Amino acid sequence: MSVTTEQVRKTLARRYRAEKRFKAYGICAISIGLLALLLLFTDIIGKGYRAFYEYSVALQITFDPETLEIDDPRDLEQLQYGNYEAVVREALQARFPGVEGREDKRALAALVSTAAGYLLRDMLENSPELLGQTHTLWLQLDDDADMFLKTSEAKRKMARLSDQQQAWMVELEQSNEVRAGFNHSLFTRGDSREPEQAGILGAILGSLFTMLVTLALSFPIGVAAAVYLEEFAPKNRFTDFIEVNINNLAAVPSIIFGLLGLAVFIGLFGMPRSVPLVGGLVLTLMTLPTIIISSRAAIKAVPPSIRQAAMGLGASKMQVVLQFVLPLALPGMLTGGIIGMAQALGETAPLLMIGMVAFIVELPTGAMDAATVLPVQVFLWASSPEQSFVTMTSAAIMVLMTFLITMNTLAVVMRKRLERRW
Amino acid sequence: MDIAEKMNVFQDAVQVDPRVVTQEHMMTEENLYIPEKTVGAPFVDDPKMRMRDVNVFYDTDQAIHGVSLDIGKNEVVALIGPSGCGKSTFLRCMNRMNDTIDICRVEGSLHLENQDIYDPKLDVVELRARVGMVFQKPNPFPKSIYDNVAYGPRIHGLANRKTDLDEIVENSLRKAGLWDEVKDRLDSPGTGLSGGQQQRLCIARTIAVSPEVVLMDEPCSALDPIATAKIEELIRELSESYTIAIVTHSMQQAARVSQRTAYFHLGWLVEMNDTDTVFTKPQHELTESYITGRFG
Repeated sequence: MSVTTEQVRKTLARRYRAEKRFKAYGICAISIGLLALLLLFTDIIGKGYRAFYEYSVALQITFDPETLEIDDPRDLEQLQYGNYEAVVREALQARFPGVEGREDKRALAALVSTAAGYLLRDMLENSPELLGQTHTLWLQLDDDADMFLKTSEAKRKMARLSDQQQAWMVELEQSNEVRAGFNHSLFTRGDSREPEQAGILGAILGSLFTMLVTLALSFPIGVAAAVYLEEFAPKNRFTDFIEVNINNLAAVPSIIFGLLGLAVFIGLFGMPRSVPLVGGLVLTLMTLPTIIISSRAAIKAVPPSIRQAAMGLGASKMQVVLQFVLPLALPGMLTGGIIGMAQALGETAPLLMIGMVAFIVELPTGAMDAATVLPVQVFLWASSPEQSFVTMTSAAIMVLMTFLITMNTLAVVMRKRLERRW
Repeated sequence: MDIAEKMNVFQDAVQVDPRVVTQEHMMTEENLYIPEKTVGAPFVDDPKMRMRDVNVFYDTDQAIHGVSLDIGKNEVVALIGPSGCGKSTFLRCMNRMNDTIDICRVEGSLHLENQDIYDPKLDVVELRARVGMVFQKPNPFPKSIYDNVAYGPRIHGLANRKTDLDEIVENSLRKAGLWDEVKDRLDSPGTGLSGGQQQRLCIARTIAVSPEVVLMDEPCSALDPIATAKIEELIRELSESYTIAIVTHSMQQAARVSQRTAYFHLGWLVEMNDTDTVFTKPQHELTESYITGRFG
């Protein structure tokens, strides 16, 4: 055996050990990341899944004209001011005949959501013949009663119901007069002070309009800026200065953009507060650097041989850019764009500054209607005292995460689709 | 002047005159001067392209020093010389491909027939339609074979009807000797062809615009001998209808395809003559040293 071989043998074992150690470090790092993700998801899903279903109670409702104070159900004004809560109250008292005293009666009535009254009104408006009839209806429970049913036996003592209310709920549960169903209002309503009536549709629509404004502005502007800087701009001090500043802009804390939006768009241009248009403008400013930087990287990655080939054939600068550089850089640009969008979708701080944190019940119908967005909705609910809002917050986070994951998946799929190999 | 004085003069020259070729560039002991004036016959009557006193600078570095030469009609001119001698730079001046490099500056007069190539009023698009270029590395577009060839005619509006375009594509591919190999798969991507086929596709793409001059920048350096032989055969055929300037590192290739050869050294044009003369009776020692392989 030669000396070299011997030397190599000696070091070989050490080299392999170093390699193994390095691999172990990598696996460790990935495991920590995955574990954190797993913890996050278990916590959020564990808390949030209960917001996706809700309990309702079966009650014998009599549409009594006297109690309702309605004699003509076709008269909208009468319908508007009907005393529906009294009907629900009576139905509850009929179910629990032993309840006496104002306090107890109020405690009993508090079990059913105020939304039940709106349900009765809508039913009566759609079919006026119901007046005077009696039907068994499933009515939405109040959030505290709902939470009581959702918690396990052991933890029920902690519920925000009095002992008496707890007893009524247990009785209803045992006689199968309550049932769980899909929580429709979560996806069909705007915000509300009552957790059982609150939904995230308003925030979803607000996010949608904000994203549309952001996408429509930031992608074209970002790509145009990147193309100009890469392809047309002369290389001098001034463009260097611009480049440095774009990179700086990417590192500016997002709340600063919110202040800028407040000062410029609302203060100077007099745009309304809390509207997705201003939110979109602010987020455009915020995502522009991301899109410009990734687009420039994508343009730089286009092989120069293709440019030369096209120019050698007599293609003009414009033709080279439009026919070769842009199509080849598009996957990279789209990826950057979608990642920028995802970043904007999850952004809260700048939107707080421009008033998108307001409590808004109405669903927005366009970019000029006051609205809030998903992450801000999460923020709002997280700071609400009601117990049910804890689960609602987690549910809103789940919806937000679904959007983000979908967008990121889309980015990967698009890149794979559009990527061309050389 | 005694010997010592002569030595001093000589050493001064070594230090200040960049035309002295020192041992850095050569394997021989002796030092050689690049001639003041190009040796041989760089000019022809009624040339297709006429270059006079061309200087090219990259920022402050001078890459080409006062090169003057002619390229005759339907002639294949080979530009040879060691790496970094400026032959590619000079070639790229002829269709202003150097314009894309910001720091590059070209002086002197370059004419295509009577047209001043560096006339500020001249549109480079028009110039490049007349002076086509084939690059070192095959660089087909990420498009179909058909679209690769049809690209030039399309952007210059050379064919108004689909049948005209089809004809141009077929003719160009035939001239490039690729038609029989690809006629059944014109829609498949050009990047899927072999290296040699890709380079012939690039040549077909260049001649599809019917240029008057074709510039080739080491077109065979990335190819195997068989593909190289095909391209060389093609160059010989093309010289019947086009004027060709080819940069090559292979002296055999220059000898096989060209009628005249120009030898560049460190940015100077040392010698230019009939290819036979350059390779059999080189008039300058530097040329002789290079073609006999004493440096490179």
